[in-house]
Amino acid sequence: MKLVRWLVVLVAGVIGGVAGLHAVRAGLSGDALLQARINTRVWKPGEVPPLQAWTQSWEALQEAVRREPGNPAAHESLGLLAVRRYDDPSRQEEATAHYLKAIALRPVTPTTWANLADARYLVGDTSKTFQVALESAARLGPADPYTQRVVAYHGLAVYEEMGTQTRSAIEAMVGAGMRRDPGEMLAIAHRRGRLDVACRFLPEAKRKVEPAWQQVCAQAVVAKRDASGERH
Amino acid sequence: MKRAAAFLALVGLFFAGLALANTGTLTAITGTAQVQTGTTSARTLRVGDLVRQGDTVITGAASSAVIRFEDGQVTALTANSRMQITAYQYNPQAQSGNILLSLVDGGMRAITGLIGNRTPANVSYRAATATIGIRGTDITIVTSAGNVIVTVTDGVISFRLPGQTQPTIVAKGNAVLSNTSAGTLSTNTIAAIIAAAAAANPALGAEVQSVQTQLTGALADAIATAVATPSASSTRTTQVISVVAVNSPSAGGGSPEGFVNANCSVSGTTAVCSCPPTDNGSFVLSVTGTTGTCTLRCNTGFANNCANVCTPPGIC
Repeated sequence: MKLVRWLVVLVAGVIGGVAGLHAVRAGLSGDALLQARINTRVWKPGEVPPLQAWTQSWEALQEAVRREPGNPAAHESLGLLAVRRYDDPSRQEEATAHYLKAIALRPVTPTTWANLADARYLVGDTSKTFQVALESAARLGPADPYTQRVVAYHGLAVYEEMGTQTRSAIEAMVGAGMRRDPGEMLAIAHRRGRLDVACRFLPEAKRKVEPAWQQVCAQAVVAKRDASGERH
Repeated sequence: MKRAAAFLALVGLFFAGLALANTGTLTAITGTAQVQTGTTSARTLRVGDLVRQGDTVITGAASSAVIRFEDGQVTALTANSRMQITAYQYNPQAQSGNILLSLVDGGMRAITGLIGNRTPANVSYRAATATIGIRGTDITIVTSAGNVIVTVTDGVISFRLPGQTQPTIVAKGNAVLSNTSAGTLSTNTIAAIIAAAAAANPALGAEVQSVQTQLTGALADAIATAVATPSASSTRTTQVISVVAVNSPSAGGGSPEGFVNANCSVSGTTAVCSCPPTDNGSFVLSVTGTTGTCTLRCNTGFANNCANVCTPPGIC
């Protein structure tokens, strides 16, 4: 009986110790992530960040990964950081590896798949990995605004080049985005020169659409019909 | 929780990137265009893609690309051209920055934006070994095998070769032809320079003619659209801040179609504009939308006769 009691205490101690160690490492990893966030918050959007500050964030995130290698958020954050080095395509290639690690750890997060699609697009790769990433993001996050934006932004750029399955995924996200925020989605489509795709979903918009956009949509649809030689 | 917050903050950086800082946006592409960053392989460019300082934009045969930079500078590349964005920095809050575009080969048309209008000294172009400074301009540059031709459609440029102590000033309607390898240059009217280029070097003359031809028609429309598009910083305001007047040829005669800035005073939601060069009458636009740009098509033969083309439509 005494032996059993000691055994129970021993096992409980080991479990508690391991759990405690994980908690400490997670806390330290969270601190590293937080430090990276603090470093990045002053960077201007779309701009190549200053190398020193970027490196500090990079090292903080590397530390987070060392402490918690099973943390998908840390891997994904490394990817997001790597992608910011628009002046260094090798870093952008590296982002893919980090996103893939994050996906391996947590395969059902649509934003990670969307970020993977972004990373592939930025290095000029719109082949299988990119297409699978777009389709997975759309399948897993049909209602997620961030995912809708990314899939629409890159998907509409390559719409004509994609096969039926990928196009369906792109259309689904554009449609979902139009129902959520038609102004935002129309702006993305306009920028990509693909108003014809977004405007199909105008009748489904749940929010008020500026009359100006409705006019633009009517013109875009007609223009597309004329360009493809369709008859009214 | 902290982890999630940190992650989300970084995720938010993606779409914030589309807010455009120190970038140019491809607003129109015909044929094929690519971008090369550093020494990596070139990758395909598509409409809506961003380009930045350090990027080289490349157009293929029978192709063209129009880039609108964040300050409103518009650059159009004709076929078989290569242009490096050697420097592009823009601070929207201070409305200042600097631009250096280097045309490595081919032809380009450049229309200055806010940086060039406010601080012309901060905008330069390079072609072969020549440096071209501007004073609020719309110019076309062609370079081939060390030869450079710059035609000035609007404004004034300074053209300097290495070793030249004083730059050569070239005003609107004129052009400069330079063999940068030999260190020679001459200036004259646009037509005379194009003729001189053709006489001296038929291949160069053909290239110049080709560029001039490409810059009309559909490419001219694409350039006009890019010029009329409000810049990212302007979309944060709630009034029209840019009005561009286009002088249209008319039955009563009028200057050839070109792009000139209207003389406008904007107050709240009303812009009162007149169209140079005659400044006949004035036009009042009441802006009902929140943002946008109105292009006035002014028939210089008939004052107060204008049609508005607005982006997005209906705001004027």
